[in-house]
Amino acid sequence: MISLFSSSAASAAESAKRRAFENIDPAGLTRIFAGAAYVLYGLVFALLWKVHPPLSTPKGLLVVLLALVAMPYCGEKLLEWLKARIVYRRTGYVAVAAPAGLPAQPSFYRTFILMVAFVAVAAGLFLFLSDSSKWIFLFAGGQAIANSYRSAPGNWIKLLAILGVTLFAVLLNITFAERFGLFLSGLGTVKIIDGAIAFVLYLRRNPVARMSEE
Amino acid sequence: MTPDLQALATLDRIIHEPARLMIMTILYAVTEADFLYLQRECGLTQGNLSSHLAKLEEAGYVAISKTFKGKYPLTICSLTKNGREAFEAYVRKMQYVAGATGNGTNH
Repeated sequence: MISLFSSSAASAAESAKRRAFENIDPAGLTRIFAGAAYVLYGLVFALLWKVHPPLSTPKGLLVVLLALVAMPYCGEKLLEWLKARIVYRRTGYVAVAAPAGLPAQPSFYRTFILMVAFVAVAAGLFLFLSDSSKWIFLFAGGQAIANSYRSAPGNWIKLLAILGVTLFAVLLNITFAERFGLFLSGLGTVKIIDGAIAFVLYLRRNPVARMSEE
Repeated sequence: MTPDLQALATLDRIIHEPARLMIMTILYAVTEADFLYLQRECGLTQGNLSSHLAKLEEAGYVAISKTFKGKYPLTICSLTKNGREAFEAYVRKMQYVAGATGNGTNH
């Protein structure tokens, strides 16, 4: 019995770490926020680019990029505020490093930085490359599917939705700005729906805990 | 008394208690956790968890602090350096005992 205990001690700690890691965003709030940001960025790119030509100038683009960089600071605070009111009083607070074998949980801030980098690359391609640049969306979509598969291998509906968005973005006969906007907004919508489902399920499964003594 | 049995006799009694072992295992795995998270993971009552945490804090294994996250009050618990070392020593002793009793399946 003792040996069974000792052999399971390490796996119990590893299991606790894994459970804690999965508990970082149990309500799907981060996904909803990131999805909303994707949709916003996509719309900015697809619509404002056409409606307000100054945004297509380097100066205008700089303003947009600065706004996109500034947003995560506000978003991070708002996300923490929501977590405190919704998550911490239901399932508690835990901080943990990523366990071995799992990809590091992307923070809200890091997601935005990646987005800004992606926007910058896309803007460069928009300005300097021909229409053949649409094929980069196939690559980006493949990357998104791979990331989604690593974090939630069994979520086939989400994977198919990302695939659908990618194919639309590649195959439709539209301008680069529209294509980029469609791709980003599509991915964002998938994220929002995924997060919203997680959020509703979380609220139904986890009533507010009553803490009378500590 | 054989050496493996002597190892059993020197086990840390603070950690050896099942509820406290659960708490220590969870805190060893994470950076920090609040009271509610520990309660849900361990399945202990609030009073029970409080008393075990108090013992672990008294032994210097766990640090407890009251803080706020977005104006929501949290009781944050984390393992101290001593606690981490004590837990590792405890696991090592148990593994030694397991090794001394054979391949770990005889019980």
